[in-house]
Formats: sequence, structure tokens, C-alpha cells
Amino acid sequence: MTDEVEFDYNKGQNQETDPVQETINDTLAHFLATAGVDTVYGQPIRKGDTVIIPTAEVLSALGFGASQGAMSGKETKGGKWSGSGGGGRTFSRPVAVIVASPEGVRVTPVFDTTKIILAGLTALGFMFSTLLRMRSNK
Amino acid sequence: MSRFSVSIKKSSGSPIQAGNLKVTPVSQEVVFRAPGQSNGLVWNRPVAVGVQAPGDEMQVLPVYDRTRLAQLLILGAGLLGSALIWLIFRKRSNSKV
Repeated sequence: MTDEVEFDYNKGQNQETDPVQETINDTLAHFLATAGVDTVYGQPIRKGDTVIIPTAEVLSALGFGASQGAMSGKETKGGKWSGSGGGGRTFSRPVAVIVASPEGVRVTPVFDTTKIILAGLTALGFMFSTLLRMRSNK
Repeated sequence: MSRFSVSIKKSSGSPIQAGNLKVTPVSQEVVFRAPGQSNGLVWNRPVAVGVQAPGDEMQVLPVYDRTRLAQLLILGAGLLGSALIWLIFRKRSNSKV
């Protein structure tokens, strides 16, 4: 089953691409194609009649850039320059654990206390800084 | 490719047999592609599991991200609290004038 919704804001835009750019685009397309259900659901762990499936949220970002041009210096005139680079990062965080046993299937959420505490401190920080600013403007 | 696109896709994995139950994982992937240089962002998250017992219809159990929900609620409360503090002080300073 695959439901796909695509929004393309610049359809029809056509730009010339060089071979380096094409390679980069191919790599990026390959990277984007790896997104799938297997990325999110881990290998099932079996213990007797019970099966445990870990689930996680995965966020991956990737960026490439390439450029080339003609040299304009006195000695280098007529030559060409080119450069390219790229980088990426993947973040992963457990979301829930699915436990399937003969009694049924249940989804147990994973509660990340550290993240909740950090959110609480950030919220307190907002309020405290507003309070300080308003008091100093008095 | 130089265009901005967002694609949202829901996909199901192959069913996992657990006793006499068939568990089908369902995930959602959001793919952003930025214009200009070749940049991309993929956000994958679990959304539900389909559970099917022999002879029964498939039952869908949603997978909620409780941590994300709590984070958003707490940050929202913080913003609301800041707005309230700002309003209270503004009212006070207006009434003094």
C-alpha cells in the first residue's frame, strides 16, 4: 500500500546541469529513495510467543553543492576552476515499542524524560525572560 | 534538479507473524527538496500498525509520539505564559498613565 501526495512548486523550471551536478543529483535521489518503512521499524525480537518491534523516528538531511567557472587572472586566463562539497546528518529517536503476544497487540510509547525536562526549562526561560524584560521597562 | 518539492508518502512494510496474528507496520515519510543546490531532508516516522487475526478484519492501532506531543504542549504553555505576562504588565502600565 502506498499513498503519495506530491506538491511541486516549480514544475517546468528547467536548468542546465553539468556532469558533477548530475552525479550529485543521482546521489541525492538514491539517498532520498532509501526512506521507507524498514528505516522506522526495527528487526522484530522474538521471545516465546511474544514479538517486540521497536519503532523510531528518523530524520536525515543531506546537502551537496558544486560549481565551476573560468579563471580570469593574468597568468591563469583560459583555465577553469571547479569545486564541490557535501555533508549530511541523521537523527534518530525511539517513539514506541509494539508488543504482540497471544493476548493481543499493544503499542507502548517511549517517553523521553530528558527531552521533556529540556522543553520545560525552555518554556520557563521564555516566561522568565519576558518577566525580566517587562520589569525593566517599568 | 533545481526545484522545491515536498512529497508525503505512507507505506506499509511486509507483515510480521506473531502467533496467529499478522502485524503490518505503516510509516509516513516526508521528503523535502530545496531549490538551488542539491539539498534534501527526509523525515520518517511510524504512524500505525495493522493487526489481523485469522478470519477477522484488519484493526489499525495508531502509534503516537508522546514525547513530541508533551514537548509541543510544554513549549506552547511557555509561549502562552509569556504572552500573559506581557499582557498583564502592559495593562498595569496603561492603567498607571
